[in-house]
Amino acid sequence: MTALAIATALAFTGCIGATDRSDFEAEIERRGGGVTTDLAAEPLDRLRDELGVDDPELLSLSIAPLTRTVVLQVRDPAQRRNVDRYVSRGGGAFDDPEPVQISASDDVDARTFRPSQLPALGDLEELADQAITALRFEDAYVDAIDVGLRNGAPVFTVHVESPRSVGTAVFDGAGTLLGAAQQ
Amino acid sequence: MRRPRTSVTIGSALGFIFAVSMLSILTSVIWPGQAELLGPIFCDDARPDAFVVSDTYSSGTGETATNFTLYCVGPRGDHRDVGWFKPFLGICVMNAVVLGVAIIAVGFRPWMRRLRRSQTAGPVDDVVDRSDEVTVRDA
Repeated sequence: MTALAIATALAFTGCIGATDRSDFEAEIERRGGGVTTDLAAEPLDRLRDELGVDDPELLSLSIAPLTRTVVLQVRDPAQRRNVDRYVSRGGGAFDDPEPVQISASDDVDARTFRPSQLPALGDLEELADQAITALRFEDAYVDAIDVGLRNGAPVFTVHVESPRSVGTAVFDGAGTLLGAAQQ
Repeated sequence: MRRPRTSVTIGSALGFIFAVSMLSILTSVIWPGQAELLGPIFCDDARPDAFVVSDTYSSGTGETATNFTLYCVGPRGDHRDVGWFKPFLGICVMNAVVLGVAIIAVGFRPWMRRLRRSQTAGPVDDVVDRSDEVTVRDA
């Protein structure tokens, strides 16, 4: 009877050995944020398979390593004026693509880039390490990586955070550091 | 009246499965961290550290519910969601082994007791070698 009472009490108050979500996220941040090359490589491979093209046309690429979520804005190779949003959560398969509204004045061609212009996608760990080193924050981790066009060329913007600071480091497609600044 | 042997076996198996299921549910609620013991099975070398993560949320009716998820985490913080179904099956297997060993240990106790008693009573010559004996028959 006493054992049953203890078991019941533990069942409601226990959860021995489980880590709370916020503590788990703090552990991920302590280890650097979780940036690995496969974060972008696997969704891009799936996109290539889905669209049937080797080098799809992208308008944006965003990576959130903590949730392992990747968001891509992609031009439809069959109807290039159409842009779709692909989301991969937790490193899994894409959700159903959602159409993206484009205004008449939007120059889609001027915003388009391709994965082949981004050799640094093959070593995101190096990009993350460089960004953390450049910003020199204490206990820093990579919060997000965005890819978009700047002056006609695709650039990586690596968002770095720490308990006391926020900053960004910008790299060109080959992974050369263009600048880093605390916000 | 003797019950058919098949129905006894099926009944015992179902009882065992039920006991393992109940034990696994109870122990996984009290000690979900036991799933971390299964890390070497579910986690690869790139992400070797197993974490059981709990998410507690309100169900809207004033009650709270808790979900558990096993994650494999790498040295850079990269992680893979294993879920909870497979780890729970692993917990069931672990409990089945423990329960099975306990049942076997209890079931073999009378047999062990008999064996021990026969050993303390000394060796018994069950077989008598009579090869040297010569039988003489009257002609």
